[in-house]
Amino acid sequence: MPIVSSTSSNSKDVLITVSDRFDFSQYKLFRESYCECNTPGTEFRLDLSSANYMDSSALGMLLLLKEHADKIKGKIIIERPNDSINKVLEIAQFHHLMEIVR
Amino acid sequence: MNRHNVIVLVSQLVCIAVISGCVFGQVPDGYLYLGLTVLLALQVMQFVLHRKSLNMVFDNANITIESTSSSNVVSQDIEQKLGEMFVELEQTFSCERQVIGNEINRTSGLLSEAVLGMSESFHNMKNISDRQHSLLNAHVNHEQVDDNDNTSNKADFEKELSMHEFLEQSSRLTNEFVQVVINNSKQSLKTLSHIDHMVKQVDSIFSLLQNVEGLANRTNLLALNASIEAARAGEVGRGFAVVADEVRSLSISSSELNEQIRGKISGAKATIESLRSGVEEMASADMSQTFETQSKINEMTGKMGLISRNMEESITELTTMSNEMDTAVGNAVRSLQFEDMTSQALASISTNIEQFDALSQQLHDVGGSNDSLFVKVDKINAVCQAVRKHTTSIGEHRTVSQETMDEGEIELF
Repeated sequence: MPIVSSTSSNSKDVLITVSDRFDFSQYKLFRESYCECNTPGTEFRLDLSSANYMDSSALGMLLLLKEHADKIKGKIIIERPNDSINKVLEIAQFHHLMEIVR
Repeated sequence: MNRHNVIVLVSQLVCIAVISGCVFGQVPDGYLYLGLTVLLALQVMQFVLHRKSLNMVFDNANITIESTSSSNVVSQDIEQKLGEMFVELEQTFSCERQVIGNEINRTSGLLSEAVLGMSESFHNMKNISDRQHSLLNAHVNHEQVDDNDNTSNKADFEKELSMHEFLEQSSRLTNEFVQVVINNSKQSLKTLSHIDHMVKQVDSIFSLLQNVEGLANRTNLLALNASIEAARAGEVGRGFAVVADEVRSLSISSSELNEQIRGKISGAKATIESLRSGVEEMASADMSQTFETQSKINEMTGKMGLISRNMEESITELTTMSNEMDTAVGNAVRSLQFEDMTSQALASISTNIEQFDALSQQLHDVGGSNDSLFVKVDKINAVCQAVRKHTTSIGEHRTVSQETMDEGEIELF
């Protein structure tokens, strides 16, 4: 499964793991992984350690997730992106929008 | 001519060669003065040697005179020999004097010519150096204008042209482009969720249509039942049978209409599907090329900064070098002004040579006269003293003049 998500028992912590290609084909799964989480202050952790490609739709998805998180006063943390993905995030200036932990 | 004279003559020629060498720039200038001094010393030495030989002759003559004083007759031979010697001396003097005079004139001419040429080329060098200097200054100032926030149109124009600015603009443009693409993706994805929502609605319409279809089927069945009941009622149910038939045909029409609606909505769903793929294409742009360009531009901006810095350093160094060259050329031009001093030295040598003329003339006169030997010798001694006195006075005058090149300021002529 390219996208696996798990929600903690208090539903305040959502871990989304993306593997292989993070592109348009993942959109539905990705959206489903967070759209049901409406608990205020939810922390969305996005594990990108096993993802190796990212296109603009992935960036768009992240922006939509950001919108959703902002709506419920939540927070996004991107974890362990590889070099090429980190470069993409840097050039898209996402480090100003969300926390990126290498 | 004895051995000493040969040595002196050879030394003179060497000195002249050294002076010529100086004039043509093959030997350092310091040798010019040394050569001139040695030449002068040699002239004096030659003169002294001549005097010495004269004295010896006189001594011999005196001895002869003393030995023959009893007879009181001076040997005819000695008179004749002395006369010959005076003539020889006079000829040697004039010959040497002519050679030296010619050489000095030639040296003087060559010196002024060379100095003129060198002066001209130094002036050209100075001009070139000045031009270089102003160009460099203009460049440095230009760089400074670039650095400052100048509001004049010209500076703005130059600023626009600068490579650094160009790269910065490109970088900004690429950034904006990236943001636009990402926003486009985001909006496309939003549109996609709306489309998905729409597909759900359409699907629910399908289930509603299925309900309607079921109703039509049930109506059809009811109509069929009604027509069966009407047939059983016989003549009385005839009218009812017509109504039941109508209801049945209505249900069939309703079924057909239902089918048409289903077809239309299926078409709409297919359209939505193609809309979806269009939006998908819009959302997923492969940005690796853009990212590569962006990082290349960043790299180039860094390199450009380095190049600019290196260039600035080089220009500063060039400016310093240009200043140094200016000073060097100035010094060379100043040194050339001492051509005057050299010419003066040559001129004073000419004066000294003229003294030889006087001596030579006296020798000539004495040689030709019928005076006694003592009178002749006295005359020569007197002339020698006069010449020495004159030379000394000239020498005193000369010591007053400038002796080194270190004095004096740069003054371009």
